[in-house]
Amino acid sequence: MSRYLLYILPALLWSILPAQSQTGDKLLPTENDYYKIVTLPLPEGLVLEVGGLATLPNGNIAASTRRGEVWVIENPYMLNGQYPHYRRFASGLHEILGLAYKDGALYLAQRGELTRLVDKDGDGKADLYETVYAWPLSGHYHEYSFGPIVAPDGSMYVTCNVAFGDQEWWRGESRVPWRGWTLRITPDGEMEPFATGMRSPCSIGLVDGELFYGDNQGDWMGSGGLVHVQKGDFTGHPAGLRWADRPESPVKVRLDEIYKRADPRFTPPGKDPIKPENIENETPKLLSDIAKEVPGVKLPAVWLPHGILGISTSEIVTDRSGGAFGPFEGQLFIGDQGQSKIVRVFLEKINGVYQGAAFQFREGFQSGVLRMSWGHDGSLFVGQTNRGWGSTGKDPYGLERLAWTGKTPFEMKEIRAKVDGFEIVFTQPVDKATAANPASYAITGFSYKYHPVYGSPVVNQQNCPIKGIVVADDGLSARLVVDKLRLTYIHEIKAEGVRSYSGSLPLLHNTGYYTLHAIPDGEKLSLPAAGHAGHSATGQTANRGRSGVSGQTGTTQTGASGQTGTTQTGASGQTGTTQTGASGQTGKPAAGKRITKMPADWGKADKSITLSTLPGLKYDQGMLTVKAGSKVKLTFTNNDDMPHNVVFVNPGAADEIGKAAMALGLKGPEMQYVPNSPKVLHHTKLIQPGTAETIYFKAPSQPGDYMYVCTFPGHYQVMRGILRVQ
Amino acid sequence: MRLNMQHIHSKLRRAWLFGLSCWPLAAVHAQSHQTISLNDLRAFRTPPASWAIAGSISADPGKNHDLRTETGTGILANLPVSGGADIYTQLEHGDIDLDLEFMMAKGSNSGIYLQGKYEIQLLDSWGKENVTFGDCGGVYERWIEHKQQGYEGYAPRINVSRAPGLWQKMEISFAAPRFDQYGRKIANARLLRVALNGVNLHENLELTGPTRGGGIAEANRGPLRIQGDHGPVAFRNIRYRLLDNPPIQLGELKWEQFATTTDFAPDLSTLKPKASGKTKMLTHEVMNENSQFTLRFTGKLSVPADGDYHFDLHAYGSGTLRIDGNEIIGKGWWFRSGTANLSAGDHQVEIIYTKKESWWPNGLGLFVEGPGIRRQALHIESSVPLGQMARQIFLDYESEPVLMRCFIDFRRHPDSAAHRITHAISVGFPEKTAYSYNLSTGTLLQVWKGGFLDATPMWDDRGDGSSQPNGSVLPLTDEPQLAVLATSETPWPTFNKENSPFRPRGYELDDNGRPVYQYEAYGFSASDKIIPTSDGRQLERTISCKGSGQGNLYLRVVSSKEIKAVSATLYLVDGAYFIETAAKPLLRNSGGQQELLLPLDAGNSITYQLIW
Repeated sequence: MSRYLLYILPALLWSILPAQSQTGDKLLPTENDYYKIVTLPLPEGLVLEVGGLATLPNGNIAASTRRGEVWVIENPYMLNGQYPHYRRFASGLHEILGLAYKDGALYLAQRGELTRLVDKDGDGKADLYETVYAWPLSGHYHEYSFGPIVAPDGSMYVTCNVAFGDQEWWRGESRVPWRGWTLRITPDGEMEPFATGMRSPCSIGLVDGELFYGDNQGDWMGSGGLVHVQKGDFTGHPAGLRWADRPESPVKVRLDEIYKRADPRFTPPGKDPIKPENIENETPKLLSDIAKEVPGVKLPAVWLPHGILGISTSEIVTDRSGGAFGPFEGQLFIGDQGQSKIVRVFLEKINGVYQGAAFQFREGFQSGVLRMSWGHDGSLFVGQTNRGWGSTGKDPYGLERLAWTGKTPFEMKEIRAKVDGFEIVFTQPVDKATAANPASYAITGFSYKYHPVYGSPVVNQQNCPIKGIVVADDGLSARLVVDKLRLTYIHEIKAEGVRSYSGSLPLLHNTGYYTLHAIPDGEKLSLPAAGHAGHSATGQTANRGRSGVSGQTGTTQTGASGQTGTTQTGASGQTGTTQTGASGQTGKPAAGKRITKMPADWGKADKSITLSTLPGLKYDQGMLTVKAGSKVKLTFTNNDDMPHNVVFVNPGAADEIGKAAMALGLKGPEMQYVPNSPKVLHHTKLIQPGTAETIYFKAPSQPGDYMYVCTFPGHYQVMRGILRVQ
Repeated sequence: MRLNMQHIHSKLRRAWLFGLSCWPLAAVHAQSHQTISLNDLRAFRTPPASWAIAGSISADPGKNHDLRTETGTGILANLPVSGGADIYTQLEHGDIDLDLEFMMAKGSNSGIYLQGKYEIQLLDSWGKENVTFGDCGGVYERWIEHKQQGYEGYAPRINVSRAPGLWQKMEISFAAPRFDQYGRKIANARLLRVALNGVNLHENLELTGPTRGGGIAEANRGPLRIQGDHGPVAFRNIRYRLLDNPPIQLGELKWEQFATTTDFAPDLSTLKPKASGKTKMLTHEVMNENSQFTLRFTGKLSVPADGDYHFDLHAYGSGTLRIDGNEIIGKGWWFRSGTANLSAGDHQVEIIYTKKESWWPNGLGLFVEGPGIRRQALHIESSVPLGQMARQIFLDYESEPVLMRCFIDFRRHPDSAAHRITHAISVGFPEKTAYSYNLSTGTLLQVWKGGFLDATPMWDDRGDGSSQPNGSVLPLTDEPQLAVLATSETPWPTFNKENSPFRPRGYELDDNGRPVYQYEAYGFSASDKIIPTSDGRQLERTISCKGSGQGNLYLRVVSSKEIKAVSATLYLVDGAYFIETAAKPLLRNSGGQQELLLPLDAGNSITYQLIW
C-alpha cells in the first residue's frame, strides 16, 4: 500500500498545485490566486438548477430553481467545516427564474406570474402562495419570465422572453401581451408595461437604483450587452413592438419605423421559408444609425463582445462590499451561462449617459452562471444551471461561492473616457516604461450589425492610433491620447505590454472593451516632444529610474523605445497604419502550417485520418498515432453546432496555445483563432458547423506525445487529444 | 452561436418516441372500423339465456351486482340470475384491432377471450390499491390442471378502473400465433397493446399459450368470446379491424442527391444530381453527406388491396411525398402525414428530403398503414437518429399532497386537438388521486388516478413547459365554471380573455398541505377547495364566496350531452362519471347541451362530489 502511495503521491501533489501559467521559466499568477471558488456540496437527489438567488437578512441564502422549488440554505459559508443545511421552503412552481426577499416574504417570477411566498405559521415552509400579478402566456417553451428586481420605491421589475415562429422558427415573436417587454408591478398587483425590445432578457439587475438588463445574442441582437432601461425605451428586438400602441404602453417607437430602416426579411407570401443569413458585402446598419433617427431607441451602455465576454449574459450585481470583495468596490459583475464565468464592468456616467469598460474577471465555474447574490461576508454566491443550453462547466447545476483571497491582482481597475482619449487606472503601480510605451497597447474600434440575422460579425473595425501617453507619478494611472474614436462604438483596449512595477507582472486580464457614447469635457493632455520624458498633469517628471517615453507616429525610436532589461515588448514603436502590438500577432496566421492541397512530391499520404466531434466539446478520437516523419492527410469534419478547429502543438503546449488564442480578442476570427507561435505545428482553419477541411502535413521527426486542441474561445480546456508520434 | 440546436434535440427526442413507436397517441387509422351489430343477437353463436340486447343501462355503484336495463338496441348485456354462460361471436379473427366499451356492476367479473383462448380480465377493481392479473385489464394466468397451479398471468401496470355503472373503454391490438405449412407453431400470439381507459397496460406481450379456461389448442383464427358466468356486465360499440392483408412492399429505389442551400427542396427538374444510385433499402445513408442536401427517392410501392393508405413522413429538415405524381404530403417541416386512396397493385412513389441546417442530424422515416394492414415502417431502422430518447422524469405521490404548476394540454376527448392551459396547477394526493385546475378561471379541468405526473416534457433538456398526467384522465371542462346570470334561462356567457372577470389570487395550504384557491370573480371573492374522500375514490369540491359583487352567481358543474338523475342526489354524466350533491341543482338545456348549475350565494358555500 505505501509503495503504491509513493507512485501516486507526486501525481496527487501535481494535481492539487494551483494551476499556474508559464511563460518561459516564470510562473505567473492566475485568477485562482486572487478569487477562490468554493463549491457547495449538494446532497444526492437535490436538483438545484438555480433560477433565482436571494440573501436573507440573517445571511442564509435562498435559491429558487427551474424545477419549481425554493430552498433555504443555512450555513452556506460552511463555517466550522460543517455542511450547509438545505431546507425546502416551497415547491410546485412553474420554472422559477428569479428571487427577491422583501418585507418578510419571498417574491419570484415563474412562467406565468409574479408570486409572493409567505410562511404564515412559522414552520419553515411557505403556506401562502399569493398571485401578485399573472400575465398572459401562449404556451411556447421559450416564454420564460425573469425577476423580480425590487426598485427603491418597492415596485418590482419582471422581464419577459419572446416566443419563436412555427414556420420561421428563427424569428422571435410576441404572441401575447407583453412578451418581449419589461413590466413594472407594485406589491398590490398593479402592472404597468415599462419598456420593450427584449428578446431573451435573463440578465437583470439594479445599479444606482436604476434598472439595467442584458440581452443574449440572437436574431436582431448582435451581441449581449448591458442596457440601462428607462420607461418607454425600445432596446432592439422588434417583437414586442406589436403592443406598443396600446393605451397602457409608454413606448413611442413603432414597428414600421424600425422595419423601414432595417429590413426584417420576412419570407415572401407563397414562398418556402428562408432563414436570413449574414450578407457579406453590404454596408452594415447599426442600431445606433436607427437611434439617430428614431427617438426612444436605447443602445447598450456597455456591450459585452460575443464569444469574448460571454455568450449568454445572465445576472448583474454591484459590489457594495466595502472592499471585502477586493479592489472593485462599486463596479458591476455580470454572469454568463454559456462560458461559465463572470465578467466585470466599470460604469461611468458622462453627460447623463451610462457607458464604460468591460473586462474578463473569473472563469471556471462548475455549470452555467445564472444568478448571483452577495453573502454577508462580502463573498459572492453563484447559482448555476445549464440544462437545455450547455456550458463550458460540465456540471448540470450547482451553487458556488466566490471569495477574495485578500491579494490584489494587477488589473486595469478602470478605463475612463477623457476629452482626448482614455485614462486607465490600475490596481497597482505600473512599471512606467512599459506603461508609457504605445507599443504596449493596441486599440481597435468596432461595432455590430442590426439585422434580423442571428448574431452579427464584428463590423467596421478600425485601428485607433495612440498619439501619446502620460503615466501618473504614482504609477497608478496612464492617460492615453487616442485618435479615431467613434461614438457608440466599442473600443478594444489591449495593454499586453504593460508590466507592474513590483514583480514585473503582466496584467491578469490585459484587455478592456470600452463602449463610448459621450466624450466628457476636460483639459486636453499636453504631449511632450519626441525624446523627452512625458509630463503628467502636474508637470513633474518621472523619477523612478527609468524614463517612460511616449512614441509618436511615423518614427521608430530604437534606443529609447521603452525596452527595459526585463521585459520583451516585441516590435518597438509604431508604423503609421498597423500596430503589431506587444505580442507580435499580425492579422494572419503564420504561413506554411496549413496546407490544404496534397504536396506534389508526396505521391500519396502514408496515413489518412478522419477526425470529427462528439457532443460536449470533444473530438471523436482522443488519441491519434502516426509514425515520425510520415506524410499525414487529416480530414476534420465538424458535425457539431458550433465552430471548431484542430491545432497541432508541441507536447504539453495545449494550455498555452489555447490561452494565447483567447487573447487574440477581435483578431481571433481572421487568424482562425491560431496564435503565431513556434509551438504551433499545423492547423486547420476555423470550421463552421456541418463543413469539413483536409490538411496535409509531415508528422514531427522527434517521437513523443504531441497534442491537438481546439482553440475556439472556451474550448481548449476540454477539447483536445494526443498525437502520439512513434 | 447556439441557435435552437438543443431545442431541436428535445423536439427530436419526443418526435423520435412518436416515430419509432407503432402506436401514436391519437390512433389514426386509414381503414375505418367495422362494428358488431347489437340490434339483435344474430352476430353471436347460439346466445346463452343470460345475454340480451338492451337500449340503455344503469347501475348503482353502491349496490352489489346491480345492473338494470331498458328495452332498445345497441347494448349487449349479461344478467345472470341463475348462472350464466360465455357468449361467442360468429366472427372469427386472426390479427385484430379491437375496441369496445364495457360497464361492470359492483363486484362483477367477466373477460374478453381473443380467438376464444386468451383472456383479458374484466373486473370491478375500482379503488383497489394493489392489482394482480385477476384485476381489470390483467392478462389472466395460464393453468396447469394436474398441479392446480397458475402461471404467466400479467397484472395491469396501474389500476385505471372506473366506478361500476360507468362506461369504460378497452383497446386491444392482437397478433395471432403463426404456424408453418405443417401446422407447427413458429411464433407466439402477442398482445401488441392493451389499453384501458386510454392507458397502456400491456405492450408487446408474448402469450405462450391459451389462458385458463381457453382450452389447449391454438389456431390461426377463432371467435371473440366474452365471459358470462360470473356476474352482470354490459358492452357497446364493439368495433374491430381485421388485419389479414400482407404487408406493403417497397421495390428497389433509385436515389439522387442534389446540392441544396435552401430549407425546402428547389425545383429538381432542371438540376443535375451530385450523386445517384440504386438501393433496396430506404435510408438517407445511401449518400455520404451530413450537412446540406436534397435527397430524392423514386420507385415502386406495391399495395395488396384497394383502400385508403395513411402515410407518416419523418424528414429531419423538410420533406415531400408523392404517389403517382400526386402530392400526398406537401412541402413542410419535420413530421407530417397524408392519406392516399390507392387501388391494389403497383404505384409510383417519390420521396424528397431536404436539409439545410447542417448541424441538424440526418433522419428519414416513412410509415404507412392500410386496409387490413398494420402500421409498418418502409425505412430501415438506421435511417432515423437513434439513441436520443430522454430519460423519463416522473413525479410520484408522496405522503403530503404534491403540487405542480405546468402547462396542461387539455383534450375533451382522446382524439380531439389539445388546448394548452398555461396557468394550470395539478395536485396529486397521497390517496393516489389527482386533478388539474385552471388558476386563471377557477376551472376544474380533469381528474385521474394511477400515477401522478410525467414531467419529462417539462424537465428534459429545455422542455416545453408541460407535463402529462400519468394515469387515465377523465376530462371535465376547459370553460370557466363561474358566471353571473340575469335569470335562470340566461345562456352561459362566452369568456373574454382580454377583459376577464376573473382575477386569480393564488392559494394557501391548509394544515394537510392541500391548496385552497382564492380568486375574484365578477366582484365576488371566491374560495375553492378540492380534496379526496372515500379513500381517494372521490373528489369533493367546496366553493364559498363573499363580497359585494352584483347579480346571481352560478357554478356550472356540468355542461354535457346527457345528465341523468340516478337518485335524489346522484347524477350520471354521459355515462362517464357521477356528480353527487346535497344542494338543489338547476338542471337545464341550454345551447344544445345539458347543464347542471348550482347557485352560489355570497356568504354560503356549496359542495359536490365527483365520483368516477
